[in-house]
Amino acid sequence: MPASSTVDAMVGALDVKATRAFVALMMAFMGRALVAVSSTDDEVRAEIEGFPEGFNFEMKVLPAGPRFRLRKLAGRFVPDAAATRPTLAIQFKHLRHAARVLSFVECTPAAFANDRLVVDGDVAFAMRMQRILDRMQSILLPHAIAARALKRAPALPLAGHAVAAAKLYARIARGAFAD
Amino acid sequence: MNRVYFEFFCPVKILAGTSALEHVPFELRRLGSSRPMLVTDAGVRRAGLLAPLERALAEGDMAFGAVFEDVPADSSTHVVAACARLYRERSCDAIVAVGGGSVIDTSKGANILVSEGGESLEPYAGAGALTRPLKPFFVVPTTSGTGSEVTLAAVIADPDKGVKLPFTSPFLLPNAAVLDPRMTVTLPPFLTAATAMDALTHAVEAYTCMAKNAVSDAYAVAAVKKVAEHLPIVMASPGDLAARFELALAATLAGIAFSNSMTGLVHALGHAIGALCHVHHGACMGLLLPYVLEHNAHGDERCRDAIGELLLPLDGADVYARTARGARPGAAIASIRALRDRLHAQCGLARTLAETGKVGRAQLPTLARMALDEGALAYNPVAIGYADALAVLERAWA
Ligand SMILES: [Fe+2]
Repeated sequence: MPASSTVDAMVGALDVKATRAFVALMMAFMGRALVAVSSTDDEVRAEIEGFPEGFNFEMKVLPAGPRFRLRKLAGRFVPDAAATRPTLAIQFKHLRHAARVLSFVECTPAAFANDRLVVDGDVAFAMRMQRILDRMQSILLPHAIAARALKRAPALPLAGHAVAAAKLYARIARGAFAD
Repeated sequence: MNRVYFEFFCPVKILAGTSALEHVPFELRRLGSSRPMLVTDAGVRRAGLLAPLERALAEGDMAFGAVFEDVPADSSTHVVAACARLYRERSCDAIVAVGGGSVIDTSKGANILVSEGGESLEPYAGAGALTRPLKPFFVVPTTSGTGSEVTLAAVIADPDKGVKLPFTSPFLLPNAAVLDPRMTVTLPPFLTAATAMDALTHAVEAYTCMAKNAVSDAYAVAAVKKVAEHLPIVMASPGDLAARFELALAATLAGIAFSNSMTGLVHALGHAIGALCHVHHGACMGLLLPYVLEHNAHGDERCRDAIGELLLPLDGADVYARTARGARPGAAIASIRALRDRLHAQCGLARTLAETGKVGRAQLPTLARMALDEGALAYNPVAIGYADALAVLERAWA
């Protein structure tokens, strides 16, 4: 709790420009992380199987971003630039809500229950996407933060966790340079 | 899972009690309507439930401009389109739905078409596609369970595309919910018990799920108390109008609670079982509720405390005071179990999945997997994976 409230105070102290920059950075990171886990993790790949071909997903802050958007292509996620209505959209009602969730002060399930988000699209797709986001966070985040970000702390063995996370961070970094 | 923030919304006017139907013409006129369309199903007509409403309108110098009574148990976009066509042909100006879930959802769909124009519901599917109020819409429920009279959602099957279209919008909330004791008095014992258990489950899940909040808690506790007190009375004397009315009120209170704080694992599993095995929704709820509560109580301390608090509305002040704090969650679950067992003895409501005769043991893994895709799961107080869902189903098996 103390760690979380310190982060809360830190993020809370950012001015509008800095908050926007922080959220944009974390959004871009999440988009790349999803692309990366979609090709490295079997569990995530199995979940993506359940989306129809051409499925696209957008996470954004209302009304006009920051945002990221992905498309399913050949069983993986790839970045998507289309401007049509996405198959599934998860939208933060306010920049500040996004900042709280992306700094892991408020976990995603709580943000959902707290009406911070609008989910537009098929409910089953939303639940599947939530499982992918949970899985991605459980691989990527240090244990202590994951426990706060998720309803249940991940059950990955610690050594395996570190290796998987390291591989992923390498992929995300490569993705960042490829842009 | 602290509730640092919550929202609560229910703009539905509730017309409840003796001669509630006689208030309908006045309330319709107040909203500028003089030619309402009645939407219902053949069963409601056969049960003689329309006569008091039609008489109430006639005595109030009003008549239905059209009557659409062809709503099947599983409605579809075709039914909605036919309903909207009739409304337009007869120049109606409001919709009064009399019936259960299917009639109410059909009416919500038809109201979208007649208010927004067009023949297709598809552009309005999803969340937030509607941006302005629709035509005046009243609901007169004839079962005491679903709470659809106070919910902002509708699900309508599109048979051409083989999909179910979901609609959620505050504009789908009825202008009024009419609770008249005459409307539920003929409900047979099995349906009375099953729908009451649905209402009880709405209240209990609303009170224990992640989005529970101070306002929805008040509605949930009131609903639990009414079901616990009045369901046994109605089962013993089905003609007791006062007790019937209390059950109808309980269903509406529970509906307000869960439409603001959502449900949880009971509904996630129940929707899967309903879709695959066609077990009656309410029967499924009553059956699963104790097993899910045990699972959730075990997994989350705050949830366990909340379940313990429900001992007060379930068994009353004396039992609550006599029971030590730590024993209350177990006592509350035992009370729900006892109610379930009494209903089994009285009207054959199943106590286990095996007893339904419709669920195969080999189907449990499929059901567990299906439940993971249910939105209600997002609000369950304890994280549920495939293994958890399967374990609860296994325990509920026999
Ligand atoms: Fe229900």
